[in-house]
Amino acid sequence: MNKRVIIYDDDADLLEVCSLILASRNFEVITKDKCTEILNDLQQHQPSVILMDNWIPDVGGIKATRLVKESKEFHHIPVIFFSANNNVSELAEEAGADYCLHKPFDIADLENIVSNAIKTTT
Amino acid sequence: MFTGSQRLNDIFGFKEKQNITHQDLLNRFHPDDRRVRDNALSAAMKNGSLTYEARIYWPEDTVRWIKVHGKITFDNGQKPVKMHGAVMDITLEKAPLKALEEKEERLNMAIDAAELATWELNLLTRLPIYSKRYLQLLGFAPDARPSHQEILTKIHPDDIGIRNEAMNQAMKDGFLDIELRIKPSPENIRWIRSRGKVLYDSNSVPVRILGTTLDITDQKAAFDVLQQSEERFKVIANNAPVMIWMSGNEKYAGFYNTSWLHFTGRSAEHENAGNWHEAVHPDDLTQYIRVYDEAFTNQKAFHREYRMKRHDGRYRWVSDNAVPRYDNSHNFIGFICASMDIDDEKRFNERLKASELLFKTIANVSPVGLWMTDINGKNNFVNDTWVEWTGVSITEHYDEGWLGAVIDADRNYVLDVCKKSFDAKENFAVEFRIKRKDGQLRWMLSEGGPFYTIDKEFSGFAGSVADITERKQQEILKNDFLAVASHELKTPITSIKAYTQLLAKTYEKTDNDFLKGALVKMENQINKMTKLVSDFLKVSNIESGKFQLNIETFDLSELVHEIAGDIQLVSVNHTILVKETESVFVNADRERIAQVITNFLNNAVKYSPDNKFISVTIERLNGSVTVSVIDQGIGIRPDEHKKIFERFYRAKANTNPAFSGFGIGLYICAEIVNKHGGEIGVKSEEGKGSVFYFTLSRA
Repeated sequence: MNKRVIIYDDDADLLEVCSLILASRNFEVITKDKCTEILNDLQQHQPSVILMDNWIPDVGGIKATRLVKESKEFHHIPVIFFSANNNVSELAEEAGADYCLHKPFDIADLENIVSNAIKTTT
Repeated sequence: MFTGSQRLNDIFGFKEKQNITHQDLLNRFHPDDRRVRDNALSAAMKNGSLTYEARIYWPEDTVRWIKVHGKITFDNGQKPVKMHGAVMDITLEKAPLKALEEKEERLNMAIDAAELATWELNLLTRLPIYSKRYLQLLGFAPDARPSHQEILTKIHPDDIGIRNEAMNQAMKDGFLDIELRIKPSPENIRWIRSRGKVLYDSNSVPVRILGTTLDITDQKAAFDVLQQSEERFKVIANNAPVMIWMSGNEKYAGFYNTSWLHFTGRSAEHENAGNWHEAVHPDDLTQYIRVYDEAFTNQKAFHREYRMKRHDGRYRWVSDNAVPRYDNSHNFIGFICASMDIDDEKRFNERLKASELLFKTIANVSPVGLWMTDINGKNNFVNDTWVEWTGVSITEHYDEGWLGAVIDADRNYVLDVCKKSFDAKENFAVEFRIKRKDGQLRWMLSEGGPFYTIDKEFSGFAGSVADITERKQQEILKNDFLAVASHELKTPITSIKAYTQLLAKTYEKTDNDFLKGALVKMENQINKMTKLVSDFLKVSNIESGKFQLNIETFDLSELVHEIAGDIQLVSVNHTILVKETESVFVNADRERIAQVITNFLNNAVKYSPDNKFISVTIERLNGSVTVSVIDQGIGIRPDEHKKIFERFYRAKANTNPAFSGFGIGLYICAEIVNKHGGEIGVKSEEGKGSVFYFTLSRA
């Protein structure tokens, strides 16, 4: 089973710590600090799960998620919308994401939600 | 042949030097007196001396009296041959005599007309003389000849004393004037008035008394009735709470009732002496007199308001309502007037007018819109400000016309809020948008409530409309700022928290207790800070901008399921069961209610570390619905059940550092539920778990 996770966030430290957490759970992690080329990224890396921040250059998490969900090729990939915005669930719904995660989060929650996402799609 | 002097011409009314014949003179004799002359002449032919008085008349109908003296000269054969004499004008001497005769005649006529009974009593012999009318009056037969004593028996026994006293007085004064009752027959009583004059002899001894008697029974009865009715009127008038005055033929008032005299503080005598006008304000007097004179001339009712000085020296407004009076023969006999002190009323009306003017002015220069409804909730007033904003004329806002200014999307909601608060007679506040006359969309906040009369009778609703567009924009700006600020604060916390937890995990098995302890403390602090940041955002929303509800109709059951699902996702160690699937619709702020449910569920998860089962029930009861979140966690002491909804309060038992928090979550929940007019509460037993619930009205 492909356990590749692609994370979109513009905070380098967060990208690093998430990589460390998920790597320790045997996920393969790819990080991106912008979502400009998201469809190319997906094409290139074929991830099983996408972690998407809301405020990310340059089109933003909502638009990027929609691009994924509207594409024939990648719409099946679960998107976990994670954000420090108070209304994450609303934003996730607006974007068409499959899951949402409030920042800051417990690492256990991150691990669980990613595992869950992969389980449900496979 | 006839010759006459110039003086003769004068007396007979001919011109000076006019030649007149004997026949001319004869023609001027009064027709009634020609016989007097002829008779006198015939007598003179026999005895030679002519004397007579006769009337002549002049062409202008002037009647004059003449006295003629003449001598006849006879010839030897005793045949009269010549007559000469003198004529005197005695008109002036004749006039008083004539007047006297006429006076006597008139007196007789008056006696006849008045049916006067005349009598005479010889005081020395006690012999009476009386007219037929007198006998008739006393109830004697026309041919009876009663003695003085018999006459006295006809006097009413009760009035004998009066009669005797009056007679004694008459002997001294010379005059008798008495009213008394007589009994012409035993069952008949009549009133008479007798007036008499005493005649004395040369030694001043009264010898006779003569006089007249008049039956005054009818007048007396009429007078009694009049007096009674007048007395009655005065009693009523004097006890009347209004001032009353009456005027007579002489134009100015002759009666003032007690109320009037109390008011003016003056005596009836003073008022009757023509001083009534003293109390009238000088500025009002001339006009009053003019109106009164006119009314008097035309005998027409009049109304007048004027200022009159009260007994305390203060001028009071008084209202006169006067109507003409007529006697039985429909003759105008003056006015009767009711005067009322209308000063309080007048001043009240003036104050009312002033306050109305003030209200109108304030209302129309007010920077907010103002409105009022009638008791049926139909608009009947909007101020100029609202008219100016909407650009629609005032009358078009009446009834429900004002709703036309509200944009389509908000109209039904606004009407709904207004109707509900109207039916409940409760205050309300509602936000909506209008299209201003310049085309701009503006946010409005209307607040209103019922108003009542002084008798606590419901009179309608009244309220204001404020343009809150700027506030609304600032609110949005502030919310945006807070959202950004909290996002920016949380971003570094996210990394710190993740690193800390990662560190803790990495050194899970270390022997370094300090390191382990430090990491736990760091994490607790980070959690506290996270909660702080998000709570800060919520409290600030609640407290800064009187947080507004965005009411919509939604399915509460669906919302509960949605939130439970989200929380279930991140709370993998707990099982959350929602025991209701049927739709329950409410009119509420979906986002705020979601906040409450989330808070309840997060608390349930947080405070039941050992028992992992959490259930949610949605119960309908009459018009409401109750959502309960049930856990089997640590529970709360009964004395704290109310306090936990207070701001910054945390349960005492809650000393376990694992249960971090700011003590503000439930406060926010309570604020939200209360704002919806709902109920929030907890049922809990320490160590057995808690049931947190809230109730909302169903749509």
